[in-house]
Amino acid sequence: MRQPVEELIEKYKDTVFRAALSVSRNPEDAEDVVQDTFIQYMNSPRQFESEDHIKAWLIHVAINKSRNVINSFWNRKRVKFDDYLENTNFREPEDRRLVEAVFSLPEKQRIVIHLYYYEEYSVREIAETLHISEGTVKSRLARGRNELRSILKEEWDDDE
Amino acid sequence: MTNKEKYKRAFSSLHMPESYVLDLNGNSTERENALHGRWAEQRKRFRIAAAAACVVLALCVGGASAYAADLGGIQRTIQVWIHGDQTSAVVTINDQDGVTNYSLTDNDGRLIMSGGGVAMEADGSERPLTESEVQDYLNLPETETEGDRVYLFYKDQKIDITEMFGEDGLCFITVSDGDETQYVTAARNGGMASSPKRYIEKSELPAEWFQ
Repeated sequence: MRQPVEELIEKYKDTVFRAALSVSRNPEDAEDVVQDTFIQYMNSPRQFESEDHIKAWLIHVAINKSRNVINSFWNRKRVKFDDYLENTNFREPEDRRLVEAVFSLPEKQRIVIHLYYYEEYSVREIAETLHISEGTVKSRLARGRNELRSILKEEWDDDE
Repeated sequence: MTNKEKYKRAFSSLHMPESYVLDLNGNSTERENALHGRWAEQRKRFRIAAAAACVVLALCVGGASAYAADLGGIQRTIQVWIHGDQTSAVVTINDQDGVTNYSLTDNDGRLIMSGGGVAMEADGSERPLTESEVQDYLNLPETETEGDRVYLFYKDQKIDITEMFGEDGLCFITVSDGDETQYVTAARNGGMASSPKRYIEKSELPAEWFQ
């Protein structure tokens, strides 16, 4: 199946943006990745099994594109990200602390954390999306959680 | 709050800037063609629905980058299932010089399908279809060939029926959305008939389906 790209943009642009941002930590790069990801969808003849399949593909492509970006332009990211957070309206002060804590994690941990906690993907789905083993997902999740707990203290519970 | 709830609330604040406009229009012809590749096949569908009035409608899938700018006629927004996806579409019924044309466009005015057809009453008289009948027609089961596989689509269902055809080239299958049951007779050549009451028999189907 295919869906009109306009519908996908409307529904998933923020999903793709957050996934891209989780990797690149640069909002401008993430915006470019969003655009490139949807263009790749338009130019791909690929058929999908379901809308969830399309969403997973978009996330996978966005993550790969973001990795290509950070491998090319690492140094200018941090400044841009700090500016971006400064101009973001968080609902509660602890929300910003959580975002900053997540973005302080190594890239491999934070994308796994993001897919698990935001997209509510299972370990198996994350493994399929990132093309890594379930064991690797579990270990990155565990390390990420431990790190978040140590940064956020009582603001990050022990639940999973 | 659970960690997931905290995480979702925090990250919901991060989104694409409203001012950012995705530029998907460079190389527009190539991209439009890619975007509408599945609509550019110019395939035709023909189905028979045994309803209150017998509906005969043939819609041709719209071509790449085709827009329906000024169709005139009656326009209604309807919800239809196309290839397993529910979408909002505008149906235009234009009755001119005794010929009724139907066009289905998306919300951007892009042509999805167009064609002609009539509703035949029990007394043999013919009349244009209503938008409700067009919607019902579009929400009936349909078959589609993808590669060497044949799939039956019904609302959000997609069923591989490739191995279900008998020696006569026909497949009989029942599908239901929970409220309504459809008895589907599909031909290997792509023809298909359905009814909410019974299977359409071979003797009732167009002869060309078996050539």
